[in-house]
Amino acid sequence: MAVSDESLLAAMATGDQDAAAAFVRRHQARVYGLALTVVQQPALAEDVAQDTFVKAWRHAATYDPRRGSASTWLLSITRNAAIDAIRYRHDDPMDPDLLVALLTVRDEGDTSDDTDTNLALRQALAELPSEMAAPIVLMTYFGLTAREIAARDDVPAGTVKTRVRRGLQRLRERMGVRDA
Amino acid sequence: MPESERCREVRELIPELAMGVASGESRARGLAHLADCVDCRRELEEVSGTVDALLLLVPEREPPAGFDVRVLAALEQRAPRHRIRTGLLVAAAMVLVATLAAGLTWWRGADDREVADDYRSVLSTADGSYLRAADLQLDGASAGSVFAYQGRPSWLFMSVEDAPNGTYHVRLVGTDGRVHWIGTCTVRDGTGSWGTSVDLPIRSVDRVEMYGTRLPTIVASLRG
Repeated sequence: MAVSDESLLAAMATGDQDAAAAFVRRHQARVYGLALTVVQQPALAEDVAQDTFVKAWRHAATYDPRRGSASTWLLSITRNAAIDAIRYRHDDPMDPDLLVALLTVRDEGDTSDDTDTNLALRQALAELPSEMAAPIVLMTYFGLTAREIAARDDVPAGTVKTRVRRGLQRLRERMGVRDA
Repeated sequence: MPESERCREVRELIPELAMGVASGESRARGLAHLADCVDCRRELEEVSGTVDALLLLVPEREPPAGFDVRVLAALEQRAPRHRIRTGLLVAAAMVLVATLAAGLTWWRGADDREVADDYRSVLSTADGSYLRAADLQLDGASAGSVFAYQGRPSWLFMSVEDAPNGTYHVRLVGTDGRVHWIGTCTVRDGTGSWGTSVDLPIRSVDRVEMYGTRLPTIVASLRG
């Protein structure tokens, strides 16, 4: 049986290089995939992915499994590192409608198991009106604030906040229905 | 403000809090309320769960060949010590702090007066009269240290560890409440170091504060 992420992280925290190698190989496609989606440039995405693993290794001792899986913890580090990178370079985010399309259709080359929650979320996101889905992905993946999205779309910031909140609520309801 | 109204206000902020993009002021306001409101905390947890789930939808992509080897080499390289940027100020701070630390170690068998003599001797070498050190605090945890030195010139040096990456604007708040912006400190890989000379007398500095867009506030109190 494969060693759990939690055990690998615990071993990494003590400086175990073999555990670090196993952890990197297990998660590199997921981390690099997210980094590439956000920064859209392979060389920069590789830097971001590497930076993510260095941070994960450095903070392995602070990982708390009660607060979420190692995958989500790692992806959250990846996201923040990728957002830092595009902000530093003043890069424009990808067209949000394009990203929604990318997220809602299962990639053919992706061989990992898609969980019921993922399937439900893909479907729910596809069914959201663009005015809700677009600000949600701009905030989630590119770190834009409601104010920044409002300026970009020429709508009041309060409207963006309401759309994001209602959109997330719908996604959550659909995930909940699927999980039940 | 009635509690329900406050909840309504904070719930508008929750998506931005969950995604870590709320401004410093909104974040402080939201977190203050969340500390006391179980319902809003639950909502934040649920929204955070949805955000985490969204990140998992991104298609996986294999990185270029040799990626794992490069990452492991980077880990190996960083294992023995924290990286510290060199510079005259860093060197000055380190020498001063190390000398004082040596004095304190040696003090175990000596008396207070000798330690005080050593401290004064170190300061006088750099034409200084006063050195303060304080913890940088981030959400109640230590995020590094600040050293403030009264001399000619006076300077301030900060070493940040375990803080979110980004550019922080650094300001001094005087005991009279006046604010002095003194520069920026960049944090990469969770660490950073920076220093500058300061015109303000160190004794009249109440605290050092670090702010950044979409970054938590880091504070060190120099009082006491």
